Amino acid sequence: MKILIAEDDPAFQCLLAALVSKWGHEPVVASNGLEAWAYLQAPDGPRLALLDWVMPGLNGIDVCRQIRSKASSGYTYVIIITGKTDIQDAIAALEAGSDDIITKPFHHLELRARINTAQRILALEESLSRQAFYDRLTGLPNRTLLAERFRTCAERATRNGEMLALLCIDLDHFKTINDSLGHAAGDTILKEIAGKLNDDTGENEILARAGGDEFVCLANVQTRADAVALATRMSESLRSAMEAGGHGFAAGASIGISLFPHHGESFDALLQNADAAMYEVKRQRRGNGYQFFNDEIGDRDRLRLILETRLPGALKRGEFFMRYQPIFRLSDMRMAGSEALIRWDDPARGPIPPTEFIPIAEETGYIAEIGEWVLSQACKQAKQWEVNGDTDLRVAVNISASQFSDSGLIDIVAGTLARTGVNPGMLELEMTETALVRDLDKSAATMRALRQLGVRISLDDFGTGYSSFNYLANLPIDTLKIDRSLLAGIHCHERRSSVLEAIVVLAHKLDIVVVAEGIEDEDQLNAVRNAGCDEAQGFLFAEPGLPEECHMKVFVMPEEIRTTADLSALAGHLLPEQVLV
Amino acid sequence: MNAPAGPQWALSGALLEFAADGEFALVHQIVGIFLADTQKRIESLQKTVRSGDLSEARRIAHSLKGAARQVGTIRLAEESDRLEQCSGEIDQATFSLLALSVVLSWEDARRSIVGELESMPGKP
Repeated sequence: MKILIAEDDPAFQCLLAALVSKWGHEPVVASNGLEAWAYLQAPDGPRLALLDWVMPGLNGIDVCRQIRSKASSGYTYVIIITGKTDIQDAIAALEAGSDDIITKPFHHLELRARINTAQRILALEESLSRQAFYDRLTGLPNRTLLAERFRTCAERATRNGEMLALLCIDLDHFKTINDSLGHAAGDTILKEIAGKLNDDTGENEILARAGGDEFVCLANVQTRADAVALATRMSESLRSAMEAGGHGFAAGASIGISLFPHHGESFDALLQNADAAMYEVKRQRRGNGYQFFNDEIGDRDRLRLILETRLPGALKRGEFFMRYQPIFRLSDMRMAGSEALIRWDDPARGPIPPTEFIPIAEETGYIAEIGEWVLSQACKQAKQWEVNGDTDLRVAVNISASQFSDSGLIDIVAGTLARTGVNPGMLELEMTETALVRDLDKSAATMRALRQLGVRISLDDFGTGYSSFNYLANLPIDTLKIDRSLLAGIHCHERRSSVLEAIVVLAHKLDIVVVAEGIEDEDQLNAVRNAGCDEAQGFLFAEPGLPEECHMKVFVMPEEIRTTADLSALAGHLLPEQVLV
Repeated sequence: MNAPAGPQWALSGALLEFAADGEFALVHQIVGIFLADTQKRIESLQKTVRSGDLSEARRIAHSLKGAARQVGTIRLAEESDRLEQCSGEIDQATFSLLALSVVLSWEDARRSIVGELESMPGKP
């Protein structure tokens, strides 16, 4: 460790330097206060200072005051050495900011002990500082440190008329890794990725971890093409890191880019804009791509912020309402039930699609309150149908991943059933595999507990993600909803059709009802019927509608659309006169 | 804190340790610097006394005291302390007398130190 010795007495200076060297440190010797201050201000200057109180020019106490008045990235530990023995002098030295005082004459072993104490405190300070400025998992700089570095880079860039690029790099599907392999494995992979990205980071680039699976890279660039090259290089590093790890996951990253000074002059503005651009890549489900920030993205980001602000009060203001999309049995085209779907009509912005507000509700945690409200509304509606005599109609309610992992879910469902008095058999809870895969045993236990309440369990969006048959074998599932992506063009896709048939056979062996989602035309309807699906829902039958429209029992294909898939003609075709009750 | 009682010249703990480690050259170097520097301070003090600048004399006495204590020249440290502590209203005769005591104790200390250094190996 470098130790500054500021002492004007040459003999004492020589003695201290000899002692400090003997104890394995590097003495830096100054004969007056000004010289001492200059050493302390140097970038790699000493962090422990032995300051003689009485010195020509700037005395030790003045130097100490200057150290404390100037903000610096590291702490300087000060020991005042003095022949002054009065208690008032000791108080004055401490009040000036010194950490310790040693009075002459002192035993050299006392000095060594005090230096050791200083070393312990400086090590602790360094560790705290590391925690404050570096990410614990990856060892990369954190957002705070990056913001500090940005200030320096921005000053230089402004001075030289240069440009900076801020890249927001978010790993695609990292949540799936955490969910399927566990967080410990996820952390290991993150460390590997961070290491590889950091190795490939150039001299004029700073890589930081912004949190979760998000990295931020700040770089000096000459042109937009340089930023594109950097984004491409980062993507390639990431891919090679994942391939090297041999985890069997396809690696990709969504990268948002903002440029200084064009897209913002402050670090926060640039980061927000790069983040918004990154979300745009994700929103468009491009994956493994990059996007520069632009005004359109800015507008969308602002809307997102507005929604984040308005969402929490929307329930109290009565802006949410329910719609129900019928599900039909394919054997007799009678209505088997409906899926309860939430809608939001914001007085200021009009109808907000669920695809826009549900992700925000999930991110902000507001989904729990909304989910409970939806469950309650659906149960009340089911009770109403029950009272009206439609006792065999079931209502399906979507349960989000966060709701499913909430230990209070079973009590919430039980409480809602009790409060509304609905027959539990009329309620079906729909879950996606994302909600289940985190801990299959725990998921199975939760599902069994829900089933014991008498409610039905449905696995939603089957055919996307892993769609493992393991779920079918080990989870207590009543209904399997085949995702629309598997059914798109199924009538002219033999392999897809064979896969569907196999799923249906397996499901039937396990007493699982198969529902085909997103049926939009007659060809699709025939294909899923031929494959053996039990039920279907989609725009061919009806869009989500008012609950009173759901008392209809049988669907009849209207003559004029029997051979066409013109969706506009389908809207609202499910009218009472076209339906045999 | 008062200066520890002890002999007129005693190597301080640090110097003793260096001597015990056989680093006599270093001891000679440090003590040599002390002798030369203290001699300069004593000469400055004498000049200051002649000019009647009590404030400067007290500053020099403070420096002498610190170095003397650390090297273990107890009497020099005590006399320097007395001069440093004297009030600003002291008369010129007492002031001169106090300064003279410092000078005389320095002469004694220097003789004693030089004598001991003579018998120490590693003399340059």
